[in-house]
Order: sequence, then structure tokens, then C-alpha cells
Amino acid sequence: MPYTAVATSTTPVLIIYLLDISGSMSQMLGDKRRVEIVSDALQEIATEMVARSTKGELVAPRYRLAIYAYESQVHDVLGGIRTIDQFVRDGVPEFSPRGGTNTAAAFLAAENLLAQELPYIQTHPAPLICHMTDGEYQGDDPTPIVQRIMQMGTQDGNVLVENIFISDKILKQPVEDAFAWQGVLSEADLANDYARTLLRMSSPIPESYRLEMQEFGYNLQVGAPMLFPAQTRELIRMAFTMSGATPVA
Amino acid sequence: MPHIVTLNQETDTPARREYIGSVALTYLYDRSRDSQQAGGRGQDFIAFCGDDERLAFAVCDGVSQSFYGDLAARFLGEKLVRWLAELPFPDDAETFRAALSAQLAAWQPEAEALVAAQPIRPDLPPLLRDALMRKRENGSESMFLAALIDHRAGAFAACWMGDLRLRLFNAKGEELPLPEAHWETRQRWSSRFGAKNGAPQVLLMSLHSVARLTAHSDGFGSRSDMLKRFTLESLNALADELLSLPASDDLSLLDVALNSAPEQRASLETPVPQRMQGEPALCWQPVAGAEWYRVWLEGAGRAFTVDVETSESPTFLLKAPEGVYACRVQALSNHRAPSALSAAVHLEIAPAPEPDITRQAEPTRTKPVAVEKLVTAQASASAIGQPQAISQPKQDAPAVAEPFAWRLVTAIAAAISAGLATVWYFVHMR
Repeated sequence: MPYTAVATSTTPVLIIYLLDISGSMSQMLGDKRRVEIVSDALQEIATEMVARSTKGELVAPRYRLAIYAYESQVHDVLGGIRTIDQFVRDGVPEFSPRGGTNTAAAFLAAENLLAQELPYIQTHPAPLICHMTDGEYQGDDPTPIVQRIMQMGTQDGNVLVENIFISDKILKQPVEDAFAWQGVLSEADLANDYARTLLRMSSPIPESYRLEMQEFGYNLQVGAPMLFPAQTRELIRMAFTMSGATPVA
Repeated sequence: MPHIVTLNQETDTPARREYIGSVALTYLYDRSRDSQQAGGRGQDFIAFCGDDERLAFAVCDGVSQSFYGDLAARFLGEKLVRWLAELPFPDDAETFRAALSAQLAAWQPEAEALVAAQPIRPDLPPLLRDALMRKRENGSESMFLAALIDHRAGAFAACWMGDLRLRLFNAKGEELPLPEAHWETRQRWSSRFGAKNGAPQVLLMSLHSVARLTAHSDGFGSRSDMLKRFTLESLNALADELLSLPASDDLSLLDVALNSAPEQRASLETPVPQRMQGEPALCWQPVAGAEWYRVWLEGAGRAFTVDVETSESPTFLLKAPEGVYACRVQALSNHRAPSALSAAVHLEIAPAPEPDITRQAEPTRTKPVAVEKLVTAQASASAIGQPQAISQPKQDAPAVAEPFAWRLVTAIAAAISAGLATVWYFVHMR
């Protein structure tokens, strides 16, 4: 059964964050800049991952993290992959928005990293890429790269790709309650072409992840795409929660 | 006050067998590989208490996703065994369930206070402290399986919440069905809520067709069928195998074989402990055939035991709150009847002396790494590099120690001042 391998200290799950830090991320969403909300959400999910990895004070390295922040260029924020116990010592980075939106370059970086890692993690849970952006890509279309990535995988399943779109123009009907929201049910729910592009770049949610999300109180539909409209902080929190929802021992 | 035997959560206990009246008790406690490697506590807990007529036991599985699951497991396990050991055998299942439910609720405030008092070290990284504080809000949780075997009543009463398993076997080694039993992972006891996700499950049953009762944690997983028949050696081998798996979990097992007798009926010799000078400790000569020792302690309002490994010169150092403790030592073996308890030797834990000096707490990290003003590398998509300018975390700077040169200058100045004062004294006062 796919996506049932549990994240343990000997079979940790690899999670790659691709974070758009282009200039538009300095715009406000509510009373905070978008980039600050992303940092807060990253802090929150890191705390949750630590909580899920902790017995007493012992942090088991169940998660391996890579963070690529991108604008016109791509920056390896952690200097490679860090286990969650190493991440605990270093803390959550802060970001300074600037430049354009070279989404293809970010996914290419993720593809390169996966190509290096996958031979050694075949018995681990399927890796997950969590991509967060607030605007349409500039330059090359990332779709072919993402489709290649979605064909890569471990024995547990193909690489999962999650997209978080910080925009109030992604859905025709706004989400009023993040906990009651069932996910994007069809293309017809989406309000613009880039949202539809992101939909094609999003994996369906595995059942094991959906059940983990239920533990957090979320009510996503079976097979809903891993595409999240980040219209509010609650939705951003939900989307980042998904990125840490690999089953743990 | 009955003594409760508990297995140490800080170490592993290989498969052992001991005899209490006509019952052979086999148990094993192994921490998960992660906990063993890091020297952490196991989240499971085993406790028992018995004599010729009754045996009460509890196996608890602390929820590692909760705040210090080992804390709830230990608290609840001791409470359950103490309560069951003194409980008149219940008349029916509903009476038993109601009494147990009342106890589970009554113990909650005490556990909540314990959790609130559990310190979170200030020198932990902020992320870990945040995670622990978040966990503490939700409390410490444990699943449990406990039972009272009453030989006079010819019956046992069992209760549980969670996915620990109770298995019954007849004299032929065949497993007896328990069609009414449900093992639900969601059910547990919480220091914050008491019984969680439903009422506890209970079972009252005659011992007539039962030869063995086995309680074990879910760490045995798909290999639990290996527990139908086992030897101490096969149990240890199974534990080693399970610990080598990626999803290694804590393992705890307690098996009660009714109407059993040791291979050698002769009891072990009784140890003769002596108080060691200068510290609250005992030592004694090794007992021939003993495979481990148990120190029975009573004092400061508690009665408890500590198991001690065998060695060429067995010793026991008492670590307990302030008070006077009566200590008795017993020798045990997997194959022989245990010794009688030794005569009591009293050990005293003195009040901790007031510290002479106070030390300033270590400075803590306060600020995460900031990725600002990223210097861009090449404009190609494959040019992935580390940010070339990373602002360093701001820390509260600890007080800087005075350099040696400055202290030397200060000392010379003081000496000169003293000399001048002496000269002034001789000039003006004479």
C-alpha cells in the first residue's frame, strides 16, 4: 500500500521546501507581510515536527529538511539537508523578499537534490516537496520539471508535490472555515489559469496524509489535490501542516 | 502498604521469570532503539504486586506524542496496581467499570499538577522548548492494561484503554477468544482529561480454563504470535530482532503462568546487607545462584522496590527524597524460588545542604538564523549555492571575564595603596 511507510530515525522522510521570496512577498496579507506569515507558518510546522519527533527531550531525526528560497536566483538556505534535530539547534530562518520569480529554477534544484538522494532512501517514506508562491512564474515553465519529479519516488510511492498559492484570487468561492474545507474539488473551483497550472503540478493527497490531517482537525476529501489557497493565516497554517503529515512511528 | 515492584524505565530488563506463590511471572522491558542510543527513558511501564492469594499488575504504554508519556505511564501504572491490590474482587463488570472510571477521574488532578511541575530546561533550543510547551498544554497520556488475579475468587478482573493486548491461553497452549474485547489506539488516559475517547474496557472471567495471561505493548506488532509459546531465550531473541527494525518501539511484556513451580524448589540464600560508610548505600556478599537482587524500601510515606544487577560485590545506592528508609534485600533467579527478605537496614537521606554559591544560568539562544540580503550567484537555474551573507544570530552576550592583565594591575594598585596607607600611618600617628 503506497504512502504508509512511517518516518523513523532510521527511515526519515525528506521534505523539500521551495519558498518564493520574490519582491511581491513583501506585500501585506492582513496586518503582516506575506513573507513574515510564511516564516511564522514555517516556525509552526517545525515546532509540530519537533513535537512529533520528541520523546521526553530526545528529538529523533525523523524528518530531513531542505529549504530553497528563490527569487530570480535560488538559495540553499540550510546549506544542504538538515535533520530535524539539527534544525532544532539552528532555528527557523527569516527571509528578505527581493527580485523575480524563477519557479523553474527552484524545482530544478529540487529535482537535482532528489536525483542524488533517492538511491539511498528507497525504503523511506516518499519525499515531499512543499512549494509556496504568491505569483505566476517568470521565465521557464516549471510544469515539465514538476512532471518529471512526480515520476520519481521510493518504494513507498512517487514524490509528492504540494503547492501553496498565496492569493485571494485562486478560488471562486473563498474558504470561510479552514477546518471544514474539503479541498479543491474540481478545476471549476479555480478562478485563474495559474491556479489551474498549479493544480496540474499538485499530487493527490494520500489517504495516510488525509488521516493524519484529520488528527489535526482538518476535513479534506479523499484524493483532494495538494493545492492550498493561502488566503488567510489559517489556510497557510493548514497547508504547512500538510507538509509534516507523514505518518510517524 | 503493599510494595509495588516496578521495572526501571531508564534501562532495559531482559526476559526474567520469578515466582510469586503458585504463579510464574515472566517479563521483559526494552526501550526503543532511539531511546537506547540516546540514553532516554522508555515510554512503557510495568508494575506488579502480589502474594500467595492475589496478583495485581499493570502494563502501560506512554504516548510519545504527548508530554513525557513515560510520566503518565509511570504515574498511572503505580496507581492502578496499588488500587487493584487492595480492591475487593468486583461482583460484576459494570461495578468494576464504574469504580475504575471514578478512580481514573480522581487521579487526573494529581497528574495534571505533576505535569505542570515538570520542568522544561531553559537551556534547550527555543524550537524544542516551544514543542515541549505545546505538548505540555495537552498533557501526558498513556494507554494501559491492568489486571487483578484473585486465587480465592478463582477469577480475574482486567481493564484497559488503548492497543495494549491481553491474551489468554489454556493448558494446551491454545489461545482463548475474547470476542467482546476492543483494542482502540484512540483510547488512553490523559493527565489533562482523565479517560479519553470513551470508557475503559473491562473483563471479568473465571480462571477455570485459563492457564496463562499475557499482556504486551504494541511494540511486538506482527510478531506477537511468537508470544504463544516462548522461552526466556526466545523472548530475548525476538526483542533483539524487533529492535533492529526501522520502526523499533518500546517493548514491554508481562506473562502470568498459573499453577507453576520453579525448576528448583529450594529457595535462594537470603542476602545479608550492610550499610556502607559515608553514603546511603548497602553492600552484601553475592548469593550463589542469584541472577539479580531486589531491594524493598519503605519510608517517607512510600513502599517501593529497586532491582539491582548481580555482580562480584553487589551494592545499592539509595536515591530518594529526604527521609529514613527501611531496606530489605532479596535474591532472585529465573529458575529457583526467591530468597526470603533480609533483615531491615535503615538508610537516611539527609536534607540537601544550602548551596554556598549561586551560579548564573547559561545564556540561551534567542534568535534564529536570519537569511537576509542574499547575495545572488550565477543566473543559471542549476547554480545553487549557500547564501553568501547570512546575518549571524544575535545573542545576549554573557558577562565577559576580566582579563588576567587587568586583574594584575588591580592587585598592584591595591598593594601600592596599602603601602602608602602604612607610610601615612607611621608618619602621622607616631
